[in-house]
Order: sequence, then structure tokens, then C-alpha cells
Amino acid sequence: MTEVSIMIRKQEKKMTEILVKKTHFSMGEIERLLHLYREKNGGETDKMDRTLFREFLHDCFDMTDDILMDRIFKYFDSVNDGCINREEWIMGLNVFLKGTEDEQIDYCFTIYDLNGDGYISKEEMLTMLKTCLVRQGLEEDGDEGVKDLIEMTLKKLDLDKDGKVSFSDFESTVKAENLMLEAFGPCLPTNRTGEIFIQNYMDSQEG
Amino acid sequence: LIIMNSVVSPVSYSGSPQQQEVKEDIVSSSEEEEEEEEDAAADMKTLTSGGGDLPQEFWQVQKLVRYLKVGNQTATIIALCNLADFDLKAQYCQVAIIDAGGLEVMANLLETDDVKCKIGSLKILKDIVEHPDIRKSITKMGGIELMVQILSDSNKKLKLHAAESLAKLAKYKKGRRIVRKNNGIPKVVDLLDVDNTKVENCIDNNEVDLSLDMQVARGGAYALWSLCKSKKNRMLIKKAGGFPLLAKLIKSKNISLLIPVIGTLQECAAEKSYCMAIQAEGMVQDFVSNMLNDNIELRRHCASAIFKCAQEEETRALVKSNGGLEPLVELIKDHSNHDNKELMAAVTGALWKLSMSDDNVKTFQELELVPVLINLLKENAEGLDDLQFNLGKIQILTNIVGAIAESAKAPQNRETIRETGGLKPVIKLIASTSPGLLVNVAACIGQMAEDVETIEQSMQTPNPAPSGLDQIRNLDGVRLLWSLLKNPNESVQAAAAWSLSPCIRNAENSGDMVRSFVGGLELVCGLLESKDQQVLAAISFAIANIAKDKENLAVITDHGVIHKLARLAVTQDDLLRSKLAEAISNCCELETNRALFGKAGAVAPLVSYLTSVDLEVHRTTAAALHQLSKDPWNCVTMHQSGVVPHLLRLIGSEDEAVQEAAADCLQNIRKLALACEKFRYQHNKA
Repeated sequence: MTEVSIMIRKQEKKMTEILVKKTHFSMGEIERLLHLYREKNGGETDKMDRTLFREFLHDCFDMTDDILMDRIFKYFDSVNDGCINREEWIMGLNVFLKGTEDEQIDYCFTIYDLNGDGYISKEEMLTMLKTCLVRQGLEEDGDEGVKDLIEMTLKKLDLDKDGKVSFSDFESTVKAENLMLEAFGPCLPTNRTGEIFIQNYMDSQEG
Repeated sequence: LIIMNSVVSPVSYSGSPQQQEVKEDIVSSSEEEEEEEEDAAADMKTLTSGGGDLPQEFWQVQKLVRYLKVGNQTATIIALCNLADFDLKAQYCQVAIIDAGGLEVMANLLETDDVKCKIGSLKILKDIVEHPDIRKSITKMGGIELMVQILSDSNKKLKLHAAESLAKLAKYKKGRRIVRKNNGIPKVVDLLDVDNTKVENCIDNNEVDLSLDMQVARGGAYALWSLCKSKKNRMLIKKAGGFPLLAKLIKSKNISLLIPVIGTLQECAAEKSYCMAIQAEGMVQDFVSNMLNDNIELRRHCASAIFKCAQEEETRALVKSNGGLEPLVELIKDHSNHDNKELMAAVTGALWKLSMSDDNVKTFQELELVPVLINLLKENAEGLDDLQFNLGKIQILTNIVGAIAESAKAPQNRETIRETGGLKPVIKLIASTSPGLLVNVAACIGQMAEDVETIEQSMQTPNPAPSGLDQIRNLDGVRLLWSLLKNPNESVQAAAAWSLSPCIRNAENSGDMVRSFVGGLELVCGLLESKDQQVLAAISFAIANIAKDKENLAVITDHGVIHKLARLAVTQDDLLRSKLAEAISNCCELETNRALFGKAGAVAPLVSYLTSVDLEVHRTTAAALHQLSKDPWNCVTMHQSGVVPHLLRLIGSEDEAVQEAAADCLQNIRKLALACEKFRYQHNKA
């Protein structure tokens, strides 16, 4: 092992010790996730770019929605420097894979709040749900169904009746009906993909 | 529907059985009722026929169904959540879904891999399957099979919602059958398997619902409750290990969980095996303690459970020792409960069965139950005309009269009934067509016929009401009772016959009374042709009492009673044997009958009765043989049948009457033998 890599390992150990306290992961799990980071990152130690990250989301979690995957990248990239370092990786996966109900509500809201202004607006909903209904072909305004559905959904979510969905609107609705958590598109692992991922990459491989 | 397990003991004569099954043609579970009682559900025509516009919600529901059809997974979830906000139990909503073709979508969603879609669909199905067309369609589409499959999924929320939907669908026979055929019962039972600690930690709080595990158990319990309306399912539930799980859950303090658990248990208690298990497992105590709960529905199910389990003597004692008698009496004394027909049926039923034990009757006496019962009877017996169709009322009346009949085994209660005018409403009920009710009415009258005026009584109370028997006669009760012999139901016939005996035995001018019933004696003799053992025994006993009057004996002899009795003599049934022997014995008061019995072949079978272990059989047979032995030819038959060793044994009996009868019989045989010897000696000499 080169001197550099020894240093890197030492550094990682320190990071792991800090991160274990901040997340729901165990030491072993963090180590294995860091290993995975190296793998997915093509060896690069500390900067995963958007493309590689989206590939990761697609490969491991079957995600295909560009808009949402972009938002997820932005969520992980908390310092907003255009790439995901190891710490951001672990902190992001913490919520992504093992978030509590509150953490996940917070996560989803952040994802759906496209412009980050603290509200999910009708326009943002339209952006995310544009293709959610199969076009009927003969409709003049192809968006009519979607707009109608959005109208109903807004009514359901907008508890303080101000025409947009605040965090507390969202939180209250989801707590009452958990199915609404990913109302505007899948941004968390499904049961199945989550389980498989944990099995393959997080569980100790010692048999 | 009516639960017809058993009938009150007909007047407890020695040898008469404590219980008998009431023969019913209708099925005793609630299965048949559901299929018939459905009101025509609303469909498009009925909704639009009023002429008014359809509500706006109707169109919104239809739009959402359309989005379901053309949406991706995200749209589907949103649409399902939006749909769930509507009043899904409202018919316009259900019709909107049907009309928009929503059912197939819902069913298809159940087949996908997507957990959220499945949960969303189940949540809606649970409510809309209350509409009969939806229920039938979903069933036809294989929805039930899909839900049963879902029960195997590891996701708890999914299992919970599947169980809740199945609970609705299994309310109908077809649904229950499909669940069973698809091996659904063990899967539902598994839902109830929770940690002991989880059960104990279940707080009873309206704010916080149960933990997810307990919710799953509760959902499973509701499904079981629906499923166990079928007998086959009840047995399968037991086989799948459901009982110990229910026993665990019943220790919980949470009412929302207890209701389906106890609801299931009381339904299953239709099976004796469950009653025995409940007894052994100490669950009677749980029923009693939960009867003190404020929740009226819970109390009702506990009372129902006790009603059914109190078939067993030990359970009856356990209810008393756990302090269960007082709360039941309290419930019935509380007038605010009287409108709750289901509660009344359960409580009166429990009181009825519990009264089968003398110990309990004593306690009930102290609690002054009988006057309350009589008032309740008067309350409920009004409006006789619509009685025939009001099954709920009939059940209540059956139970009340049953309880009164059992209580009337105690002389003090007979006095109470006599003094408070309890007989009149009872006798009025003879007009009913319900076999269960009639059996209890007959039993009640029979018990009260033991209430005969004694000199002491007339001296003690200043203005006593006429004796029970007198009251019965004044109300034309004996004739009405006699007419029940014509009832097509055999249990009714038997109960009436049993109860006629004390009337005949205790009445003044009994002979005249009996003769006054036109065609009565012929009717009685005719019933000796019945195929039913109970009827035969009861009629034989009645004949034994009738025959005590010389004139009537002559009449029934004319009706061919001798042959009919003789024909029955070959029976192996001890109850019938003892009553038959008594009848034969009394019929021999008419000398000529003795030879007739002999010729009709009654003697030899009678001898074989002595091989029985039943003491009552011995008593009456000894007396019959004694009477028969007054005819020499009968002595020959007896001797040839090997009666002597039996008689010798009987002479050593503890019962004096048996000793005497046996001794006299033997003496007659010896006399004859001696005379034979003498004759032969003289003949040989000549």
C-alpha cells in the first residue's frame, strides 16, 4: 500500500467514527458503503459527479425519472459543489435507506420542492407529473387530465388553503396517509430494491 | 338467527334426560339469512330515477377511476389516495366506481408487485365491497384468492389491509368457502401470532392506536370472526392452532382488540370442542371479567359466549365462582338495556343455561331474578301477531321462558311465579310456531304443574293465588299442552308429553279432566308409532299416568295401547325401557291386559331389561314383572327367559319397593311351578 492510500485509510477511519454517531448505520455498514462508493466512483476518492450518481440510482434502484434523480443528487450534494463526496454519500444514504418517518418526510418534501422556496407549487407539481397519464391522443389540451388530478391532489395536501403546499401541509397529510409520501414520484427505494441493496452491499459478506 | 342448541330439561323425572337437541330444519348459523336479506342495492337506474342530478362527487369519482386506468404508478397512487377521501360507503360512490369500470382495475392492482398500489387498492375495496354487486364481481374476478395470497407477504401493512378486506368478503358463504379452499385459514390464523409482551403492553387508549403488530392481529381477528360462521372453518381454525392464539389475545386490555377476539370465540363456541377448550384454558374468567366493562358491545359478546359455553356443567360452576352471575342479573335489571335486542338475547340466553345448575338457581333467587324475568316476559310478549316473523324477539322469548322453566325447579320460585301471574303470558305463547319456544313453554308448564296447593300453603298466606296447576287449568293450559302433541316437530311433541304427566298425576279429578279432551287419548296412543325415542319415552310415561284411572285405562286398551306398548318392548334404550315398564305395570291393573301383554310378546324383552345397569329401569321393570306374573302363562315365559337369577339379585336391592316387587314376582313363579309339579304328580299317578 502506498503512503497516500495509508493516509486515506486513516482519514476514512476517523470519518467513519464521526459518521457512525450521526447516522443510523453501524461501523461495518459505513465501511462497506464507502467501499461501494469507491467502486461506483471508478476509483476516484472523493468526488462523484452527477452522471455517475444517476447511473448508481438507475442500476441499484431502477430509477428512471430524470427530474427526480436530479433532485436527489442535489439533496445528497449538501454543500452544493456539483459532486458528492464521501461524507455527503453516507449522510444521503442514511436518509435514503434508513430514514425515520420524519426524516423521510423531510427528504421527500425537499425533493419535490423544485426551486427550494419552501413550498411545492402547482407548477412544480405539473413539471413532475407531466407524463403520469397516458395520452389519450384525441385530447386537444393533453395536460387536462393531469391538471385536474393535480387540482384534486392540491386540495388534499393544501391544509392551510394558501394555494401551495408548505412543509407542514405535507407533513400532516403524509402522517395521516402514508401512501402520499412519494406522491409526486418515486424518490426512495422500494421495499424490494431496498432489501436487495442492503443484502448485497451492506450486510457483512462473511458467511 | 336463532341459536338452537338445546332445550331445558323437561320436568326432571328420574331418568328423564337433562338436555335434548331441538330438531330444527333450518340451519342454525347466520349463513342462510345473509343471502336473503340483501336489499336491492342501488345501481345506475335507481340513482338517476329520482330525476335529480347526480352529485358532483359522482363525476369526480368517475374521473379518478379513469386516471387509474391510464396512469403510471405515481398517478395510480395519487388517484387511489384521492378516491379514499370520498365516502366509499355511500351508494352513489360505489355505483360510480362500478359504472366507470373501476373494479377490474382494483383487482388488477392486487396482482402487481407494487406494495403501495396493493395497499391503496385494498383500502378502497374494504369499503366498497359492502355493495353486493361489487362483492360478487370482485369474488368472480378472483379477488379473494389474490387477497389470500397477499396474506403470505412479509409486509405487515399489506397483510393488515388484506385481512380487513377479507373480513368483509368472508361475511358471505361463498367468500368463506373460497378462503377455505385456497388454504386461507392457516394464513389468517398466523396473523394472530404476536409476542406475549406485545399483548401485555397494549394500552387501552383512544388517542394512540395499537402497534402495527397488534393491528395486524386485530385485522386477523376480524377476518376470523367472519370466517368462523362456517362450521368447517371453525374446525380448521382449531386445527391451524388458532385457539391458543385467541387465548393469548384475550388477556389484552384493549377493547378494540377484545371485541373481535371474543366475538370469534362466542361464534366458535357453537362447537363442543371449543367449549371444552375454553373451560380448560380458564377463559371463562376472561368472559366474566370483561362483562364488567363499560363497552356494551363487549358485554354482549361475553354474554353470548357464556350462553353457548354454559352447556357444560363445569362452565356453569366456573361462571358462578368467578362472580359472573351478578353482572348478568344487573344487565337485565337495567331498563335502558331492554331496547337492545341483541344484548337481551345474549343475556337472557346466558341466564337460561346457567339456571340449569341448582347452585346458580339459588344465587339467582337471592338476586330476585324471577320477578324480573316475568316482567321482561310480559314486556316482550306483546303483539303476538307479528311474533312469527320477528326472529329476534322469538329468541329472547325462548330464552326468558327457558330461564323461568329452569328456575321453576325450585319450589320457592314456583311460588313467585304463581303469585306474580307469570303463567298467563307463558301459556299465551303456545300460539307460537317456533319449536324452540314451544319446547320451553311446555317445560315451564310442566314444572309449574308440580305446584299443587298444600294445606300449609293455604294456611300461611292470607290470600294465596290459586296453585300453579289450578292456574294452568283455569287458563286452559292442559288442553293447549295436549294440542301440542299434534305439532309436527318431534321435540315439541316430546316436551309436551313430558309436561303432561305432572298435570295428569297431580290434578284433582284427573280422570275426568283427561276424558274431557276430545280425541286426546287416541292422539296419545297414536304417538306410540313415532320414530323418535324421546317422544316414545315421554308418551309411555304419560300413559303410565293416564292408566291410573280405571275408565281411561279401558279406553286406551280399546285403542290398542297394549299391542303398541308391547311392540316397543324390544328397545335397548334405558330411558324408554324404564317408562315403558312403568306403563306396562300400570296397564296391568286391568286383569285382562296381563295376558294380552304376554300374547303380544312383551314379557321376554322385559326380562332382558334386568341386565341394564340403570336403577330406574330395575325399579319399574320389577314392578311390571310382578304385575305380569299374576298371569300364569307369563310366569312360564318369564321362567323360560331366565328371570329367576335376576329376581334373586333384585331381592337384595337397597330400594324397598324393588325388593318387594321382586319377591312377589318370584313367589308367583314358585306358586306356578309348585302347581305344575302337583299336576304332573297327579297325572303320573293316574
